[in-house]
Amino acid sequence: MQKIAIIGTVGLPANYGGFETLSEHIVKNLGKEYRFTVYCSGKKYPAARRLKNYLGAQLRYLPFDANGVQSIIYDSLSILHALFYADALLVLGVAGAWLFPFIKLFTNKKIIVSIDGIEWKRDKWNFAAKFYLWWVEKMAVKFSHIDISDNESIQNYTAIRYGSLSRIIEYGADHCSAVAKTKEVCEKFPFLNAPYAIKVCRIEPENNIQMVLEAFSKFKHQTLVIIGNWNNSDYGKNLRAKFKFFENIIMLDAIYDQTLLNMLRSNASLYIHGHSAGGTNPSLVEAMFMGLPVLAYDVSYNRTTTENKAFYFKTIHDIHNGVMQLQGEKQKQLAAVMKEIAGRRYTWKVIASKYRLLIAEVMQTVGKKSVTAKSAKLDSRVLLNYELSHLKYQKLFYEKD
Amino acid sequence: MQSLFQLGLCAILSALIALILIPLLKRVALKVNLVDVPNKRKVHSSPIPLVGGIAIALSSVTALLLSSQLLPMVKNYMGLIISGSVIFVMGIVDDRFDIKAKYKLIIQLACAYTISSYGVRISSLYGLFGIYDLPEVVQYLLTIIVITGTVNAFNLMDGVDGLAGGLSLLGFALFMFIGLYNHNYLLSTISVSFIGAILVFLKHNFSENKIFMGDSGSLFLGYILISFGISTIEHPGAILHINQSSVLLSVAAFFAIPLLDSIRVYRGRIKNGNSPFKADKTHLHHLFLSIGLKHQKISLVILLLVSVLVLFILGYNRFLSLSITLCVILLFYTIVTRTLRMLVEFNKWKEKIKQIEKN
Repeated sequence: MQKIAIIGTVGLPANYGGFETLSEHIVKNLGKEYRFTVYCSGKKYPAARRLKNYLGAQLRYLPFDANGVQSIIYDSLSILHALFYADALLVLGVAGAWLFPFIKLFTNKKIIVSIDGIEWKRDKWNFAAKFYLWWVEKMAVKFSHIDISDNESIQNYTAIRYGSLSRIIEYGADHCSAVAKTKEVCEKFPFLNAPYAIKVCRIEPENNIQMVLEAFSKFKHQTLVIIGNWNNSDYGKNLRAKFKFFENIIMLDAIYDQTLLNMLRSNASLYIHGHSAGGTNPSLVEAMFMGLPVLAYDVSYNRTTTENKAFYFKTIHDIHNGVMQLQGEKQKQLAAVMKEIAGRRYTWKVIASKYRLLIAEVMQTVGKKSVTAKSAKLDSRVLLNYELSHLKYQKLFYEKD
Repeated sequence: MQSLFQLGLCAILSALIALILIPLLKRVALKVNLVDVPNKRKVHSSPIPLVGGIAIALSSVTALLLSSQLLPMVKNYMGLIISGSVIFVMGIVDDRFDIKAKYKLIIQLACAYTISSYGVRISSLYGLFGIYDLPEVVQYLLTIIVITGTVNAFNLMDGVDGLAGGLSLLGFALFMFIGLYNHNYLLSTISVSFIGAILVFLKHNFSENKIFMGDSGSLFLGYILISFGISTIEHPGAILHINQSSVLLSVAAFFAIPLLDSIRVYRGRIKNGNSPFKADKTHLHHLFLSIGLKHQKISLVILLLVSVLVLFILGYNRFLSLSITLCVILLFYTIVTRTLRMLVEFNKWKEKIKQIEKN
């Protein structure tokens, strides 16, 4: 059986973010066809409770953080270790991609890389980090055998910048299901007894939290619940202090109990998604799967995820409009539409089978597929001879009319 | 130390003459339209008098005429005086009437030939690629190519405030030290009088009512500097125990960055299918401008790079052979430009991604 190494996640059991849930489901669905090894961060899994195996995958621990500046060492060491036994490497995140040229040159290991949104654009990084990520993303896409974007807009970006045809594989959402409210929880969180809008995200500027808070601060009769890691940064603490006294705004700390989180989410009347980066956001697809109407920030990624069928906002005015329009029947309609999209595209069965095909394909590739078709590279005189010159001037998928 | 006193005097004299001369020249220039008119590509926005070169040349030459070195200077540097004057006049005419590049090239080649026939030639490669002495025809050809290339490289470097001026300052300072080291006081005196004039010019260059040195300045100064460079390598002067390769390498290191830059720019333009003389914004100082540095900072940074390179080479030339040293210079330059271009690319993509996301 062939061996695959999954690199770049915090680890299993999945308790952290999109990549972790992804690797858990890959391992669960494909564990019988391939032997998986998943690299985990020792910092988040204390030694006493570490597992050696999980769902059939072997777990290896490294004493570094999987995110932040330590991710460079974390990913690089994992990759180097995996080179000794794995047949293919599934690298989630580009921090260690500076090794890829050497891997391609000196070994015959196959690399699948997932570039997780356009990391270097994120405001949370300082200049040096942005520059490194920008450079290393080039290494990642150019020297991997297959690169995965989780969104069509990112596929456009990699096509324009690198001439690479990324595969689009999103995230699954069916690990989250609607949960009926219980009396105890309703007592603990009284807002559950009335309609409320909900937003779940990391408290970072790129998630447009300030705009949403300001919009709802003017909207006295609509309740907003925001769940996130407020105390993790000065930005979060300042925002919390600023909007503390608005009665219709409820700011909760991060909730890791999945059932509770799903309950709070699925009983909301509206899901507000302010993310402006990162391709297909797992939180958005989960909200769609749980049958919530979506009011999302107007950026290409969110439009592609929701197939342009949701409501979108760019300014506070748009948020007000959206909330006003999404009442009663319209709400139910939008919810149904979102649920249909999610049920069709964002289930782990679908996603895992896409990965299955991808892994099977990568085992046989030699070079990298490019965006331009091979027919465009033929000699123009030959083409002229066969009256096929038009093949030289093909319009690429990202070129709009 | 009497000579040091004389040197200081010469510099001060030249500076004083420049101080008086520049305001006069400014007014005359505006009347005869000897100005640089801004266009879309250039970085300034109002017409600026192109009198820097004239001021520097006249000040330093006058100071030298009044010094005790007049006769030896005429004797030793005849070729330079003749061809230098031609380049100077050509520069002024170009500033006023914009001579075609073809004619400028021919005149530069002629001047280079002139000075070569006066003995200022690169006569040997000193071990580079294993070659030592060169046959005479090759000497002429090589010298002409090097002189013309460097003069043009200097001209191209005159793109932001203080760059060409600062670079010339550095160059003349280098030659002043080499002159002192070799007991070639003539060289030091000439260098020092230029230094004085250039300092005054720089003050005006950075001020509000600025002046440019124009083609007359950059071509002339570049020509003088490269001729000094070649002649110091060839005729070191009263030698005691000088390390000839130090001189050679420090001169090479000084000219390396402007030269490599112009070669890179020419190559880039040819690669894109354009004429190498077509104006664009790919020079070193343009790259710095694209990142967002201001003029003064850019000049300082580039001067810093050149000084670091020269000092490094001076320090390490005992341990490295000539060929390796030249490779080091090349490597240094490549790293600097690579990094700069990546930074420019990075900024470009930051803008592009915003476009893509809107769609």
